[in-house]
Amino acid sequence: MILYPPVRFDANEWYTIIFIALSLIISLMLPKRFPTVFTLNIILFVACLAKFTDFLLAAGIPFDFYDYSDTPKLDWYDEYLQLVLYPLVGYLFMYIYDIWLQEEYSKLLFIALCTFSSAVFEWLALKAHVFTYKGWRMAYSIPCYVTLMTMYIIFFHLMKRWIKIKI
Amino acid sequence: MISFMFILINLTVTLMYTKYPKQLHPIQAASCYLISVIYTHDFLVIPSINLQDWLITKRMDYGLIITLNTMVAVLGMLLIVINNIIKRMIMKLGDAK
Repeated sequence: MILYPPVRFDANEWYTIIFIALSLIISLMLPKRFPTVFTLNIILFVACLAKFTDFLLAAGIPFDFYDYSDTPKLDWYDEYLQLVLYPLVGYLFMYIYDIWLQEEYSKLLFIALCTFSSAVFEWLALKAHVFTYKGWRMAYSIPCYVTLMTMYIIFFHLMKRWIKIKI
Repeated sequence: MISFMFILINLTVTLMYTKYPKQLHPIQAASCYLISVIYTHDFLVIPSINLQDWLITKRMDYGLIITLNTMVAVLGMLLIVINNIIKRMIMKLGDAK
């Protein structure tokens, strides 16, 4: 067995499926805003940060603050979350951020709004048992979200600069 | 501490490589770097391979050596493929401009 299947097909699996479907539909319906290579790198960056953060906080080396889905081990739905849902949400984040930049609104306000909405989604995920906290609290997630979103924004600007360089 | 030092060294080398002798476009370097991290993390935590447990117990055997060799070889080939795809995408982007 390479990855474990879910123990029971219940709320956490439905949460993953519904949000993947929703974010996929929204992403596909939106008009193309970035070149393909830009989108690909956004997806890779968000997946990479998600994996790195979860590995740091939940893999047991050195911390084990929460578990995903039904088992403490990596299962299929953990992978769907980290490699599909988070990158899609990250793409939507950068898409909205690009529009936000054009309108010249405050970046801090954008980070605050996104942090708030992420906290709401985390609360929903907690209710659906996507996460099982083992000493973690939702309040700890706030600084993590702020840090991650700042990193997304830095990467977005880096990509904007890099895309202008010719090969 | 040692891990962080390795990360720092790797990042510095990657950044230096993108600056000099400019063999890699920064986007190519970023893609390769990100793919390597995702791949390695997956390899570390996939239950059937259990590299993570091997690393904790520090037990070295033929199984681990073969796994690591295969992992690095597959990663190398994956990077070559990704590199070519990204290069083509950037060149197409330049042509479009």
